[in-house]
Amino acid sequence: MKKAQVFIVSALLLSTFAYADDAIKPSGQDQPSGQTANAPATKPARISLKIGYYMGSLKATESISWTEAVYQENAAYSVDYEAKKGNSFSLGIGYKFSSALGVDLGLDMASRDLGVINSASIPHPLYFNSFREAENAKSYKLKETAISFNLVYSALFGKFELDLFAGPAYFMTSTELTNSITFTESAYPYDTVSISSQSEQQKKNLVGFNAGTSLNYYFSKNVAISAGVRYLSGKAAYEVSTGIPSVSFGLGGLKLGGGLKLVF
Amino acid sequence: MLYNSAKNLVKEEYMKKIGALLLFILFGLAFLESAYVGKVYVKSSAGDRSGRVIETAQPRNGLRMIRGGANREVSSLQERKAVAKSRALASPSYIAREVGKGNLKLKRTETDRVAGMLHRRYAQYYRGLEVLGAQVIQHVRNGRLISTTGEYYEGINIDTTPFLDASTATQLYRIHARKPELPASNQGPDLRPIPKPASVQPVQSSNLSIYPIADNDYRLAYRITLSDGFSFSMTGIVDAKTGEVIKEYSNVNTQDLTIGVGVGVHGQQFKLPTTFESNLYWLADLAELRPYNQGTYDFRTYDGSNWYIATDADNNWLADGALVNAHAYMGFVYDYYYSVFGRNGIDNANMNIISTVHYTDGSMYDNASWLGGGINQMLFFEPGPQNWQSAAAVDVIAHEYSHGITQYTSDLIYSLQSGALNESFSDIMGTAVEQYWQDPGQGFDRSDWVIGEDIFSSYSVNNYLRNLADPNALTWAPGAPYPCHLSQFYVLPNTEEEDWGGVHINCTIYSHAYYLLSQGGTNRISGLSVSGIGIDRATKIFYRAWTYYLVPSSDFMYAANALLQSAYDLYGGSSNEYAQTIRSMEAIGWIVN
Repeated sequence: MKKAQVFIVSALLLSTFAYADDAIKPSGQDQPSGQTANAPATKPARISLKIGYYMGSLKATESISWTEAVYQENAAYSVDYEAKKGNSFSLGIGYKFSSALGVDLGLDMASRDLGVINSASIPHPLYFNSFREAENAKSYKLKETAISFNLVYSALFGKFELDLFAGPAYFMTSTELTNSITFTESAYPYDTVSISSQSEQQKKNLVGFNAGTSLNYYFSKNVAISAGVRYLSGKAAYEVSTGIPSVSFGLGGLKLGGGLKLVF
Repeated sequence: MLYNSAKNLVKEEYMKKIGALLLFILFGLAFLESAYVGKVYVKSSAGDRSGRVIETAQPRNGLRMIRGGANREVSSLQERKAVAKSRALASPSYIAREVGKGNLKLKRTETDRVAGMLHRRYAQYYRGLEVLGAQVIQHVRNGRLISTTGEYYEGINIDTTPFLDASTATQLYRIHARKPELPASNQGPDLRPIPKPASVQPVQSSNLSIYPIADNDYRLAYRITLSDGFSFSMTGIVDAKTGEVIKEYSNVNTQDLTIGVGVGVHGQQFKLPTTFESNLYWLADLAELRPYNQGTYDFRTYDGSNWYIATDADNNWLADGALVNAHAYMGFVYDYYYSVFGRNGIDNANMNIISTVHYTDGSMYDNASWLGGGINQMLFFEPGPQNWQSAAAVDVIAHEYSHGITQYTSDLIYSLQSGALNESFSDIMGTAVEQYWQDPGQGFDRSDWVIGEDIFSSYSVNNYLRNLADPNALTWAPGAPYPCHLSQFYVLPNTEEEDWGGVHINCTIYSHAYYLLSQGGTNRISGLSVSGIGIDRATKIFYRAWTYYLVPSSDFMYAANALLQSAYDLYGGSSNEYAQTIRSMEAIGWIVN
């Protein structure tokens, strides 16, 4: 599955650069880039580069719990994750093969804070139904990089250009997740326990979806500023450790942002 | 010429002064760098570009700590020296020099993949011997030193020739660390401990080391670990000159302890601290889950000369509820006294707690007893002709246990009035323990104000041994109710046949006073009412009088005064608690002036 994903992405990248290779030839047009729709049909090719910054709105919580036999009862452990909103940096390269249609290869890199509350309820060694509670808090990062390949439809309105785009996205994610919780208890009469959690770096790659729109305003034939909204969607499920339920986080989300667009 | 000479002289003089000043500064710097003696806490950050170092330093003369960065104030010279040393230790080149000299040795390198860091842990050595506990750790990211932390002892200067060899030191520590054994077979009933201490062997060789006691106080010492491979593992630091055990600590983690599960006589489930040895689980807490040794013996194993700690194959104790109740409740009673009064067991020094269940001396009894006089164990005679299960009742077990406390505190003589007080306080504490552990109500394993209702094979509100709330409700002989007032006191001969003057009969007078003080109520004879102050306060008053004021020959009047004194001490002369204590004494027949 992973090989297939890598193959698809590589093929998309190669095909994009193949198009780009043709498009590097100068168009000979001396018009503002926002007026490409008026260019001769024989030379519509345009390469565009985009750089942007997006504010994400996706906030996700996830809780997992498991039990373990301790002192003739079950100790209960739980981990509550809260993946907070995060901003992303994006890069893109596009190729237009007609005045209205093109393709776009985008890279979106986000890092979100992942708040973690590890908690445990540990049976008393001497009595039934007498549990000691403990918790600790950790903070990790959920890093997600999405490579998206989009079909782009563009419409020109004077110096404004409206892009609509959609296509598959390939997510590469990494984060640290709790993979075990251990406890230590105070001396007799064992009234309190404290816990320590161990974590492990987890990685997960998956295919998702990307769609959005952006409005570009051309200052000159080559430079535009851009504002847009996009929706990246994916879900990463991490298999943390044997005996511990998997942890799933929604990726991407609705993002608002903007940046620069250069066309050649 | 003269002028020139004078000028030269002045110049030379200046040069000398400057030279002296430079020398002074150099010596001063050298002093700051090397003259500090003591423990140095190393905690530095390489990220502070101003050259400020965040560190803590402990001067030799106390525990003052220096903390902070830019606004840190370092006041004393000793502190400045410690800080200077701390800074020096934060330098990679200094560490390298120390490694070259053999003062530091790389103990291990740890890779922190998550943080992308490398941690180099150095142990401090002095003349080839490890300084216990002293380590300096360098934290490195991408080849760059980020920070240095740890503890380092500066200025160690001791003779490293041991007086004792390693085997002698190990032998000394083996004697020191030997756990107290359960009673040997020559003391009263023949109880045989499971063969534990004999198997204690060192599991690792003794290491000669330097052990820092305090700043500028170092000992040449062996670090010795003894373990029997299952529940005993102690490490001791033994002075290589004197043989003194400077420090020791347990390596046993309580999570490794053996906890069994058992079902009591009336179906209640209990956790049981047990010991696994010889492929059997023994009803004994020898790993001191509670801080004493506890063994529960089964007299049914008697082979004509010995009987043994009860055993089970799988640590699920389902076959004999009396053994389960005895073992679990002994622990519960210890817990009660520890939690409420901070008391460490029967003798307040965590003596062994031994009990034997199903005991018989040939006759059939329905009884339970505390065997004092050096034997110091509890016996549960069962089942007798009435088929009582005396170990099944937590108030009965607490009663017997409290006799042991009496022996180690007031030591009330077991006859006549002092004997009745002895029984009375055991009933009072038995009830207090039951009220502490069980929910109130009727039925087995419920708390109430009667003694021994759980020893009977079937529950009835009329099945009990004594009644604290209404002693007269039960008779000890036809037409002879248990007394609730001094006017009902039975004068009986001080013989065994007559219960040593009726100690189990007249005891209800004071236990009834305890009930009145705790719960409130009216004495049947005097008609006087007492407002209850609650069981917690009432028990504190009685416990204090019993353990701190009474003496072996105390009689009823002495006890009344001891209770008033106890209430006065705890709550004051104008308190309601004191007033109600007086009232409770008046209710049972005393006239309080």
